[in-house]
Amino acid sequence: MPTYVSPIDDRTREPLPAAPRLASLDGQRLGLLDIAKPRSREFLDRVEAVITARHDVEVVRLRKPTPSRPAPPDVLSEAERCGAVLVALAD
Amino acid sequence: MAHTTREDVDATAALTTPLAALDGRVATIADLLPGTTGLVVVAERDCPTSRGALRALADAGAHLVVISQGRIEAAQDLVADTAAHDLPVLVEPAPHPVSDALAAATMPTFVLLEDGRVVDHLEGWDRARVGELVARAGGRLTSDGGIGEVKPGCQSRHTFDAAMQRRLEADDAVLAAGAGRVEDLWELGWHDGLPVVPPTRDRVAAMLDGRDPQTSLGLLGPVNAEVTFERLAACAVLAGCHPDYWPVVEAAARAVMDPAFNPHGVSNTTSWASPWIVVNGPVRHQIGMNTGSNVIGPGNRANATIGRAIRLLLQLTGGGSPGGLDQSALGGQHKFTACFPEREEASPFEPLHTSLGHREGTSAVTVLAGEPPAPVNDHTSQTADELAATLALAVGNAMSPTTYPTPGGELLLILGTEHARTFGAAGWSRARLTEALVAGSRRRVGELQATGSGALTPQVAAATDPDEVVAKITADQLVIAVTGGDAGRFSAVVAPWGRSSSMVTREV
Repeated sequence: MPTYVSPIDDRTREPLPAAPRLASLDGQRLGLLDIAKPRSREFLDRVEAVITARHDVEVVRLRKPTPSRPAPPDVLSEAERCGAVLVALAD
Repeated sequence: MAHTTREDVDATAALTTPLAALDGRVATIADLLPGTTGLVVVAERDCPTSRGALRALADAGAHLVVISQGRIEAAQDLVADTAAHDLPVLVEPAPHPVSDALAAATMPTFVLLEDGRVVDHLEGWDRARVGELVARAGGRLTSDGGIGEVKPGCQSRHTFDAAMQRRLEADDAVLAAGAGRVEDLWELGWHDGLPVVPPTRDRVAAMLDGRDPQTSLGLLGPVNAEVTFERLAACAVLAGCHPDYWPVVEAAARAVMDPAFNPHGVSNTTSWASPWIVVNGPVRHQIGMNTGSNVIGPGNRANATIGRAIRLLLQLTGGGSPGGLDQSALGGQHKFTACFPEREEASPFEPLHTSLGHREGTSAVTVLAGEPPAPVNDHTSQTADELAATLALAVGNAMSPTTYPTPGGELLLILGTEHARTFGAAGWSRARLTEALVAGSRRRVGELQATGSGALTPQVAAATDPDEVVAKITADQLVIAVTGGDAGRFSAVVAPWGRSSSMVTREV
């Protein structure tokens, strides 16, 4: 096959490594990210109640303004300060 | 297929015509088939029956020689495709005198020679008969080459008229220049389901016409790829664009990459959203866009390929690949391409881009994320008011008939030329039609609540006064482009995606 000019940025084809798993939630700062789909908040309220009953975690509630755009920088920087983040998809 | 013994064929001329071998030497059939019995196989790269036959013969061990019609690159391809590297191959260029002398009217033709005389002749594929010929030539046929027991052949190049032969030669010349093959692009996955033009270095260089290939337009999601001129040009070549279209392609690419347009979300959504591109200004005619009948349909290279280039950019470079990160539930034909020029010359209104603040005489592209076009057919309204009422009903149905109000984005009304004339004759401006559509698409909440639909917006569902009126859309959200053929009272409504994408206009 001849050499073609690629439309693809090869850097985007390299798989991103998964973050190391946490040994325990205890003592962690846990982000709960509501992507702003309907009922995301109610779902995460329940998740927060269950997790805080079982683990010694500091919960941080995060919210995207809209599900259809990438998270804005302030939400991402807040997420970076968490040991783990749960993302709620809903509808 | 002819099962005839062609004793009438005088092969003498064929056997002594010097032809190039693949290793560059010159030889005749007689040179390569010494001895009493041998088989000549005339074949052609573009003929599936020929390729199957060569696959079958590749390890048959027969005393044979292959004559490949066309240029040496075609013969190289034929050998590579069929793993026939061990077979002696002679290249027969136009006008194919050897094929003519052997009466090889069909590809492949098998000619059995004994002492320089033709003793058997077969055209097309018949496994049993070829097995006999191979056996008489000292080999054994063990495969059908993937073409079964019987398969008709293809027309020999020497039987075409001179004009067709010249075209076939030109195709070979393009191949020889490293033009690439459509088949390669299927393998690479660089397509939208339709064939694409191979983005060779020559073609990409022609598209860029001296521009710096490393110029960056920024990052494009969902995979955050860097869009360089080179990658955009590769998409434009793949889509079939002429290099003259580049300024429009570049402007459209910059527009869809504007964060306000939100290409990341447009590429990922489960809905129909995809860029609709409206072109205004002199560039429309400079690059030969169609503003007439079938304006959003097939038939014009610029209309079709500019929109396709932007789609391929989102899909290939941006990573919004159908079935991958593009999870659109139903997709839509507009996701192959959706680009058209406004027919400013037939419009009673000022052009779209000048209505948005761009100077007269400039060219611009306007992109908005939209759904498939919903038709409005009104052949009987006599007045502007009547026609506006029909169009307002269609506006009210956009997205979903219960979507009140439209959450955001812009609705594109593609106003057919004949419909536009009705408004022009009545002296209506763009603003007046907009106002009429905004007013005419309002609903009483009681009317929406009475539908029984479970998809009412929270605002409508919660309303307690049935006479409260809710607007479908604001004047700012309504975009009107006049275009299309002279005849036919048709328009179309392109519903917006919603609040997560905004229209962007960029000058060309």
